[in-house]
Amino acid sequence: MSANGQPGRIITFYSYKGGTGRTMLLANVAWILASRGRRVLVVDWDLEAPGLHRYLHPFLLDKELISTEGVIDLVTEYVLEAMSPPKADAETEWFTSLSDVSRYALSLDYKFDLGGSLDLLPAGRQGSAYASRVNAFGWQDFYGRMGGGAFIDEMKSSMRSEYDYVLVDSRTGVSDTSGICTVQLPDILVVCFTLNTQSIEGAAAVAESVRAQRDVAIFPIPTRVEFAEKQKLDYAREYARQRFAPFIGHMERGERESYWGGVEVIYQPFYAYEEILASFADTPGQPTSLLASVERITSRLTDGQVAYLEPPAPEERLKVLREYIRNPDENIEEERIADLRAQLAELERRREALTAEVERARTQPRRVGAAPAPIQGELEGLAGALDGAVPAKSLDRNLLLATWNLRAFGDLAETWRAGRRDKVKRDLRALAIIAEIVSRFDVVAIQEAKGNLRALRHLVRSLGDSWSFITTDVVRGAAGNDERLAFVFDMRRVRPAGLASELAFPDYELGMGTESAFRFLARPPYALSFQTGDDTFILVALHLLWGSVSSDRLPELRSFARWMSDWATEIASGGQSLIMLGDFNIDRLGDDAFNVFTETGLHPPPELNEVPRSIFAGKPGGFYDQMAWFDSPTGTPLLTLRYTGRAGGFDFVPFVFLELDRQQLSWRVSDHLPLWCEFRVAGPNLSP
Amino acid sequence: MVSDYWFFLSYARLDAGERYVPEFCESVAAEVARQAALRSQVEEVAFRDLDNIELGDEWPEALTDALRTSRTLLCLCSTAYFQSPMCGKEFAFFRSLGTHTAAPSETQPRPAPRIIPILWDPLDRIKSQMPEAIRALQFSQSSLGEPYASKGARALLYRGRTNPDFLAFRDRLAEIIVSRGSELGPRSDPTRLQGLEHIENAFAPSPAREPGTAPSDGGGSAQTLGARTAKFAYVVASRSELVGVKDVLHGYPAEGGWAWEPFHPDDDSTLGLVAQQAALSAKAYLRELPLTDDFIAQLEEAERTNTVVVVLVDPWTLRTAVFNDHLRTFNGRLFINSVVVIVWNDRDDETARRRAELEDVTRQVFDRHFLMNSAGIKEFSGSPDELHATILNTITEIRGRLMTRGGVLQTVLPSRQSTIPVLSGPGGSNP
Repeated sequence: MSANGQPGRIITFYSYKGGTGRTMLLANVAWILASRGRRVLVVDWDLEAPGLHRYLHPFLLDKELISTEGVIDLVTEYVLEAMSPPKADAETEWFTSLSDVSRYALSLDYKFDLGGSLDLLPAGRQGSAYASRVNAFGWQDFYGRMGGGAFIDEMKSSMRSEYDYVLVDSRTGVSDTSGICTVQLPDILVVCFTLNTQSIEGAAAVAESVRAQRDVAIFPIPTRVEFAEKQKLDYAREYARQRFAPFIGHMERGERESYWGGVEVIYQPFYAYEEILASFADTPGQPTSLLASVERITSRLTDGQVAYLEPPAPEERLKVLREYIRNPDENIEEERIADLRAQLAELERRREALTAEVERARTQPRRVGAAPAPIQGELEGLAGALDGAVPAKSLDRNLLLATWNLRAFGDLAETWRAGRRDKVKRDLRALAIIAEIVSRFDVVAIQEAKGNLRALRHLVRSLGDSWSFITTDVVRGAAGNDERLAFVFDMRRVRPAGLASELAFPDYELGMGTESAFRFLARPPYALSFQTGDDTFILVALHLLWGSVSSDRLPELRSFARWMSDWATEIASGGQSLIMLGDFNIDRLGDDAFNVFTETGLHPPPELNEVPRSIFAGKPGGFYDQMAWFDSPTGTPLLTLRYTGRAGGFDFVPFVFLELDRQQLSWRVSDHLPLWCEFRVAGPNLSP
Repeated sequence: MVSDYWFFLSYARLDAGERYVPEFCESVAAEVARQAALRSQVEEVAFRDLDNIELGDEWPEALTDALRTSRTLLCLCSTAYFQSPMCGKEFAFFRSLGTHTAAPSETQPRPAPRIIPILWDPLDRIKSQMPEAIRALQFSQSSLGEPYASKGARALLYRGRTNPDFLAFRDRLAEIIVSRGSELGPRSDPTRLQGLEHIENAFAPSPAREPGTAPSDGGGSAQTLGARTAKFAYVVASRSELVGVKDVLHGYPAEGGWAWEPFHPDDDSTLGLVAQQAALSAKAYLRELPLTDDFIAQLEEAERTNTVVVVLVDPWTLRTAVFNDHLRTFNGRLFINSVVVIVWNDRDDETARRRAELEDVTRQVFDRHFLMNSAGIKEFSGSPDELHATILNTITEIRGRLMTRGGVLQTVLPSRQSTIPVLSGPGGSNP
């Protein structure tokens, strides 16, 4: 059974003509799936012209497959057994073990970080007799006389029970084996075609023929798209879109546009000369690369569940690339090798530069004047505590998101020690403490920032040049409490990605009025999108205000949660993540308001359940601050970022302002503790 | 220095999974070294012939020395293994060294057997072919773990050298090797026994034929009919029968049959050896079909049971009376499972010189087949590799014909899909 207990999905890759890049696409999709922790089987069912193994040779012990059996051997075994006299001492049904693909599947010699695996079921043992074995196999008799159809069904269940995804490389044209691959095997059919009439017509006719026999989801994919002849290209695109329109008719108009724009595979001459995986040859995060095309297609095929490659570590990438290049059978131009090497050197150079920069920023004194010695000592103690409590920022590996309600974060006393007479208690010492804590994260959502931006500006300045902030305007009126929501973020690691919006809700969504009226909540949620590496995510900061008795506002809360849930689903299907963070104003775990959220699939990570939120130890409840995201109805997170399972708070009380009581401390640093979650990201953001 | 191997790895080099053997050997040897706390190199722990025999070593000598100084013998059981005469000899030689056949007595428990059979292929594939000599060991395969017992060691290795099922199996196997190897100790008396060349193949049905390299028929209990089996008839007369027919008889064995060297004088490969290797490449169980009076009845039975039959013919032999009769009867019939291959030795001057005359004879004997241009007859001339390919392709073609016209002998699965799914392209559907 696949990882989540569901039977795996079988996806067949078909093209009417050869040379469409079908096998290359399949191999790359498979690698991305495995890199994201999925168990994947690839099957080379192009028996007349097997070649899938060429993309995987660095990871195969028997590179030419002369010692390794596959599909043709598996079905031949069945036929030979069917045509032999029954054995007297047979203990089980004679065909039981014959359909077990695990006897034939080869595992690649490669360790995927997230626990995925990639197995290959080859076409069959290569060698002089291979072709005659394939030619002599009578598929018609196999089906007509020997129950071959049922045997293939048995094979299907064997594959589905062992893997999350099974990708089948089909024969081209309308041969016997292409019929099996496209009609009988798949749950999803990917139809690849180049933009010429023959290829489009053939692929569309076959897709129609499959659809007439079985209700299979069909994804048409234009491949080898070239931009040289713009007018012809536009014409061919339009023709293909019309021809395949019936297969994506279930999509909304806007989605159809984004479908066609997203799944095109652009012709990259580099890949025409060698069988090499884009996961190793391409640098992640370049939208026009082959890798980016494949990622978009993978996202389509998995309903947004897998949208990005978990890239190999640079040293691993270099090692594998050498394996690809070293193979003496590969005829790679010297120029290409030089290209690859230059690309890798560049990757290494940027990585080193970025790492050095992060390190320098961490160790150099901040721009605010140096703190007096005792405060310096206090800050060092705090830094040590943070080192132990919060995972280190690792440039191309993780992303640390935090939320912190900073009590009345507005004005600042620009002195190292605010005295009794100072009206403003938050001083430079407090700010240095806050800065030390904030510097450990990549994005911090700050609640209770006030109309006065002095402390916030000072904070960002003291964090260094690479930090920035974005904030809402102040919400006026009693309910608004002169507050704003702010995001403070480290631009070396993330950058704003376009969306910044206060969320307004139609009244009817909140169950209170007509379609035409819109309503802002008293303190509207603030959504901001960020990019890191090639992951885009939207953070929604909240400081909700539901009235004094939370049960009064439950219907409103429920509508709000549903609305957010729908939005999260939509965002996930576009390959992005939505994470909510801030003050949910929920009294405690399991209360009505909390349940309203969890019913829609919103879940905080369990690691945060026991984490205290408040510096006041005895304070009951204290479940206000939260970080959460939605799960799909099947229980998988609607995230493309991957939560690492590490989350927590940070209790600064034992390390700072030891001379003050907690009440006093709360006005200087805060009454709330920061909360954080760690995610894995797809890779280094290499834009210079 | 006398070597002291913990195990000798006996395997068939024609095995389909040959590429995985070194991997297997190294992994087990490393684990044995670890468990036995040895500071030895892998090649000091295990003997695998290709590794350990250096160029120029006397082959059987080095082999017998290694067998004499190995504590245990691991046999990688596969169809190819059972059919390899060399493996059968290694097995017999090791067995003859004693201890494992010592009769149990009241006071002394029976020592653990030194021979450990490993399922290289899954048991259900090879069970019917397993020679009595290996069955008699009664080794409990399930003690090495269920995944191994049901799939065999090679399939576990397919899943990677670090896959947990393989490692569990390997660790347990190493334990057995170490425990038996420690119990039995190093071979104390590596005395010179008879050489390997005088040992009989333990897997051959007795009595073994002369000379030593006879292609094996496997154990007596093996399955002898069915689509997995290929029967070979060697139509080659004995030297005495050929006297007066052919002047120069080099390359012809005294007894006739499989030992004929059809590439003489360039190459001393025998007809039987090439046939055996081709059968293994086709993963067929090799059997000999004797040219007895019930030849035709045997062909009929073979056809009924989808058994492949290849009749290899020396054209000179067709000029002798007795063979001529059998084959004339064959000429009168068309079997879907049987093909005659006439093997021409172009390297032989006399054959080349009298080719036209010999061709007349073949066309008389098989006139019906030649007339109909039937698929039941082929002529061959070329190298040993080409003969191998011809026989292999012949077996494949016959299997293809049987698939269309032979009987289905097992009860097949009821099928929702009794015809193959048909696709239509722009020009309509395939036929």
